[in-house]
Amino acid sequence: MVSDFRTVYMDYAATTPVDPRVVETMLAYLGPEGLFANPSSSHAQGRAAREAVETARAEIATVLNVAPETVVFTSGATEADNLAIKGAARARVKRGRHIVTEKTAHKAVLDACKALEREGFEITWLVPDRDGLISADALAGALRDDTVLVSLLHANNETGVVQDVASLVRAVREAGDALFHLDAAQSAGKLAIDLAALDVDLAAFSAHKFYGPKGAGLLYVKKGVRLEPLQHGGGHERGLRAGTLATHQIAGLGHALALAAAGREPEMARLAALRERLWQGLSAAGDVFLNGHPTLRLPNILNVSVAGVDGEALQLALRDIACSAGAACNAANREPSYVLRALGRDDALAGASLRFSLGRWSSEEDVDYVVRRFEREVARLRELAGAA
Amino acid sequence: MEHLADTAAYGRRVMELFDAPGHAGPPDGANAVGEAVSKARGSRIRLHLRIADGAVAAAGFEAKGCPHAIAAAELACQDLEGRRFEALAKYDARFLETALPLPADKLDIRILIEDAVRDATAGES
Repeated sequence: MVSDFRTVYMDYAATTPVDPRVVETMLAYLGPEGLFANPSSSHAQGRAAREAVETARAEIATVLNVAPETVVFTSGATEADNLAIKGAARARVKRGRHIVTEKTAHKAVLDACKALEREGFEITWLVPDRDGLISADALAGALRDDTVLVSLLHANNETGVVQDVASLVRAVREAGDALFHLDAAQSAGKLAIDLAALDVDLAAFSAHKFYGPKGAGLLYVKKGVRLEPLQHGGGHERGLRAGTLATHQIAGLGHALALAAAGREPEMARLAALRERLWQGLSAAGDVFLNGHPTLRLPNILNVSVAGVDGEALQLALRDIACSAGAACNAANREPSYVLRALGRDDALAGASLRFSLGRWSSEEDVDYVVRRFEREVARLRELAGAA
Repeated sequence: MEHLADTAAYGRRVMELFDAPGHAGPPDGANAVGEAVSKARGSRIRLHLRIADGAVAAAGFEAKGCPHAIAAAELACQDLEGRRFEALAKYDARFLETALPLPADKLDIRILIEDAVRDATAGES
């Protein structure tokens, strides 16, 4: 291993550290001196905790441009996706049993839809074009009279490709009364998200993607949209999500989203410049291919495929860099990323792919280190491969 | 998506051989070459041997494959040096299974090495 070995974190799309300012906020609700009381209790401490929850809800609602009562707190985007998809489908089963989603959706969406398939729902799986985009025409073509729900990603978690949500929602509105669920887990904090303007019915968010705590998220539920709850026991969150409200998590979520929104433009410009520096550096190795649309991507994600090297070998060689790989390791039957396969990459290139995702603590030094290590290891592995 | 390599899945021996193989590339004067391919795994191993006085005087490899395949090729080269050439047709690479070791889902890498060695015995130039 090289002598200047250190570790670099470039996996912010997987999760982020909690911003120290958010940690500070959360601590105020945990200890015996803090506002730890149950927000459902009617005593003074309970009411104070409730106020903290409602302050966070209002903060979030302002950022997303929706009414506070449309925000339902969950344990994260996976739960929010499940509540949106299963909840909407089951509530609307008398209208129809058809759902439209995409092959490149997050596993939370894929698996929730597959679970509904086993309940007798029919799923249409849209395939994006080679850039990762889903066209409004393709969506319109998939809609039927019995379509009750459309669930799509705002930005893809592997490639960062951003969909034109407004045109996709329009296609759904023109066709009928199917609900539109948006998984915004990856785009929150990076793009300006005005849910009222986008006119979606449901939208899922996760705090740990924008420097909030893990185990906290929310589902936006537009007024008038009916969902079948997944869990019962106390009628919290307008009966949609039973369970004692986690004040510290919710306060952390609210503060984290507000911070991300306040500093969004300069931070995204900084990350876009860093990502460009990374791309220029990595692509200099030659035969390195960008996965996803060249421009319609989140500013912090770079997904590349590397020709002429084995994916697993590249991953081990770059073990000092925390990023994500497009294939499951160590299995005889390696499974290249289903997202990259859907974008038309062959197994070798889909298997030899890396997702670098930058964030609040990424620096030029980090980028330059990753470029140096990448160049060295790709050259070494290609030399090892020789004529083989 | 998976997170990058869990190094515990490889073990120290594989990591050492993968990081710094001493037999990368053909040795000077190589006069036999053998190749084996695993389409399922997307691996290809090419062994280069210098045969002198009926024995393997030097061995080297080229490999496009997973860390275990690269480590196996390196260890096989170490093992091949000094062996009698006529014995290579029955070369047994089973030792790789425990020496590296190879995980249960990668035992076929041993066959890949044996195939490359046999191919080299057929292809002495």
